[in-house]
Amino acid sequence: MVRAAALWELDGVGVHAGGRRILAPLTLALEAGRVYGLIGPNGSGKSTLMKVLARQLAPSEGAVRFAGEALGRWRGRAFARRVAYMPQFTPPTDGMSVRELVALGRYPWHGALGRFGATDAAAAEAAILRTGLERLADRAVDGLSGGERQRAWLAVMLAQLKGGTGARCLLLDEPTSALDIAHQMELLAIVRELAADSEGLTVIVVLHDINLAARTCDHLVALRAGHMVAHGPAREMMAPKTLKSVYDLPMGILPHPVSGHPMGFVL
Amino acid sequence: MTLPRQPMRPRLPLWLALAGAALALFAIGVLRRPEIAGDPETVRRLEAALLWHGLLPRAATALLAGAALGLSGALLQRVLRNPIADPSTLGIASGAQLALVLALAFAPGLLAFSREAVAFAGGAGAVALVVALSWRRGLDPVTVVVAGMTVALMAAAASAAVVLARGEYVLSVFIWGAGSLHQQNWNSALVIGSRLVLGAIAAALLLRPLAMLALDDAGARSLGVALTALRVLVITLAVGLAASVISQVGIIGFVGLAAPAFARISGARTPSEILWRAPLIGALLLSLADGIVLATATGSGDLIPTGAMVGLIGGPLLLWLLPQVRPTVPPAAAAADGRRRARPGRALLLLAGCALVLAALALTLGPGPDGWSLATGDLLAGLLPFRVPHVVAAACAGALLGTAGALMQRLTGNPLAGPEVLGVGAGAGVGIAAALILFDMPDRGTQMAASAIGAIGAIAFILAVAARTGFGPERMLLAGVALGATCLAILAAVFAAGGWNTFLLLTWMAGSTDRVDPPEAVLLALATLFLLAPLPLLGRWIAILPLGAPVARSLGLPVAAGRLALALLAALMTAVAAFFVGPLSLAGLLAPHLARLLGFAGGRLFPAASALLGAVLLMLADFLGRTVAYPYQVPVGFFAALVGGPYLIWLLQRRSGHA
Repeated sequence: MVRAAALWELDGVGVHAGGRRILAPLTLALEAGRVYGLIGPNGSGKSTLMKVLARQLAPSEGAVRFAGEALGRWRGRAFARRVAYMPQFTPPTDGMSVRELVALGRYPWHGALGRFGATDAAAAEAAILRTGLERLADRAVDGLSGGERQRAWLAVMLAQLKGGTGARCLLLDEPTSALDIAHQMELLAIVRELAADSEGLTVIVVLHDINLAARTCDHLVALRAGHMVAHGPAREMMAPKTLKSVYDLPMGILPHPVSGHPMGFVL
Repeated sequence: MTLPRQPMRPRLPLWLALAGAALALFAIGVLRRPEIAGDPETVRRLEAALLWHGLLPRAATALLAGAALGLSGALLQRVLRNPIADPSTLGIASGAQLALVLALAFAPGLLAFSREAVAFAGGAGAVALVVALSWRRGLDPVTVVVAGMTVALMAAAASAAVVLARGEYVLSVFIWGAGSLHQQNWNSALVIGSRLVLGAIAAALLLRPLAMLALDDAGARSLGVALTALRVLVITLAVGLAASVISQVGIIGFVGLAAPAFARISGARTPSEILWRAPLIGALLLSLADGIVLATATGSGDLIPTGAMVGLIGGPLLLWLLPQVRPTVPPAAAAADGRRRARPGRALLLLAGCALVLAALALTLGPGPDGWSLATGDLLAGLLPFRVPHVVAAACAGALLGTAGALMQRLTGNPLAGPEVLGVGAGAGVGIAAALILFDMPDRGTQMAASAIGAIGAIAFILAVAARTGFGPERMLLAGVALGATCLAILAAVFAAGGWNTFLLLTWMAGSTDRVDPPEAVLLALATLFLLAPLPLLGRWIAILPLGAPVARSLGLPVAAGRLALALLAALMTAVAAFFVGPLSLAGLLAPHLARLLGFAGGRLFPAASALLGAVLLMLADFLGRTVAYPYQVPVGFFAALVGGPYLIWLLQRRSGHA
């Protein structure tokens, strides 16, 4: 197989709104099959960048290509089969059950009028199994705990990406922000597995906790005030100087007592 | 980044120029007054009387009423944290009018006792209703005005029903209803002036706690503000001010809205600045409007009442203010009951069965001179031509409104977004009114065409406004409310003109199936089928769009096109129903809530169940309206509002237990 170009290619992508620069022109390439973490302080442009990738927001300048094709040239449903996006705040679901919600993820495949066929049902079922929700499948989503609800939305995205050919990508905007530590680990473990297993999904995830990000991601991209200040393999990024440039705080690094992974702490 | 753009700030010279213009217009009005014939001495004394007891009190009334309304609006906007709250958008004006109509029709003694107290009771009742309806959503600005619009329509329909029932007797109220500032003495000016002074003193005393309201509820409470007491006090004060104006000169909308808005634009930021500038600007605005009316008056009287004039200016103004309104509650459908139907398909069939049984009963059962009877055989054959059109009209209109309501609630995520508040119904009314004015005795076909033109104009307008935000639901609701308020002001002006045409419009306003003849029933049935047919195809969009634009877009759904399709469908349904059963029935608001209560949730089942329930509701209302006061008929819309309104409040309050 010919080694294709990177899955995502960003070429001078910038965003302004109301005369303010939210994202400075950014040039970056992201490879398929990896887990990328977007880190940075509040207001650094992480969510904006995610919205650009998810086609929720058109960049004010520059070009984004996914799988070699400019974002604007993708058709809505074709893009949705390859890229799934979980917004930072998931909406209320008006009494829908988990199974019904996950089934909505098949929209890109059957469209407004197509039949919800056996393939679709199987994809939805597999997504529910994958996220360990089989016992909750008939419960109302609004009645679930925060962690269960995030897994239900993850299942929607898995159902959305299931099937077809070509590299696919999950965009997760702070999926763990409302979860306790146990549920954070649980969700991120699933995310890790998704990238590692036969599906080989690419994941781009915004995370606030630097240690969680270093543990979960292969690669970190650090933003600060709309500028990319550093990017590289997670282990290399965990250096006092790099972290100081991201968070503007004196930080130190210690090896994890058991695994030996580098851990950051505030001095 | 969502900061509103800083508009230009009119400085003192501009205000002085405007005041000069108001004075000049008044002077023109005085100079253009009709010549009085007769001997010079009588003319001189008549002229003096006209000036001292007619024109000057009128000018004073305009100033004082404008100031009172400005203060009232400023207080309401402050206490509800809602930049488009005012006596007309909160239904206070319509509530006061309903109270006065009721008193005039059934207890004239009350009016002799105190017009002001009656108006106050009506206004307070309306605002209480609005607050009760929107309480569960934390008085979210969008929800409050939507509730206000619903209450205003309910009150207007009820007023129309009462006027119809009591005939000419009450019709005079409508002349007053449109806010004529004609005066014969200084009474009104004195009444409003004294209330204004009291109100201003009270507002000055409340200034400090009002400043605390800039914080959210929790913040204000933690700083020791007795929030509920303060709210009640300030709202009472504002309603009192509005009621005194309404009881003296009638409904003058939008001054209360515009004055604080202009105060903010002119640079007032703190509550005290807004509270003292708003009355001044209100006085100026109303004087200007009245000056225009006076200057254009013909010998026989004003061309249009001042209140209607202000209404015409006010609608566009409201629209311009919309970008300042930010919803505080993220769009969300009413909390789920958690109750799900195990076999929704069967339940739907059962519901359809109920609707058919009800239709059969409505066709056969009825009270006669000798009690209730089930018509059969020849009698039934004789009755059917009369009853079938009514039942068909009620069922079809109910189904259309129920579906439109389901679509609107799904689209906007606002449980109070009935199709009525889209302004489409009121637009249809303006169309009918125009036909009544332009053609002497228009036939039904002309009326239907005119109402369709009015409704389509309204739809086009709302969609054009909403298009700028990608058919964002809040903007669409608010545009609908603005349009509805403007149309109601226009209708008030038409009512004020009087004449037999008014009765036609009143019948429509109150809502009735009386005038539907067999060919029309067929037409309506066909239109209903045509409009309901695409629904099964739109099921997936109806399920996904309520999850919000990010999710819908991420799934590859064309968001703007989807919203446009659903909104257009809902608007068309409302327009068709509005012509046949009037602008309000509450069926569109209630049916979706009932459907959810019964456990219908899916993208296809929910609208279908709402359609069936809407049909059941209106058939029931039609049947009861026909039989309860036999041999008289109670207008369907009135009946539905009477039964549906309290039920809706109960329903929304009951749910607060879950949340």
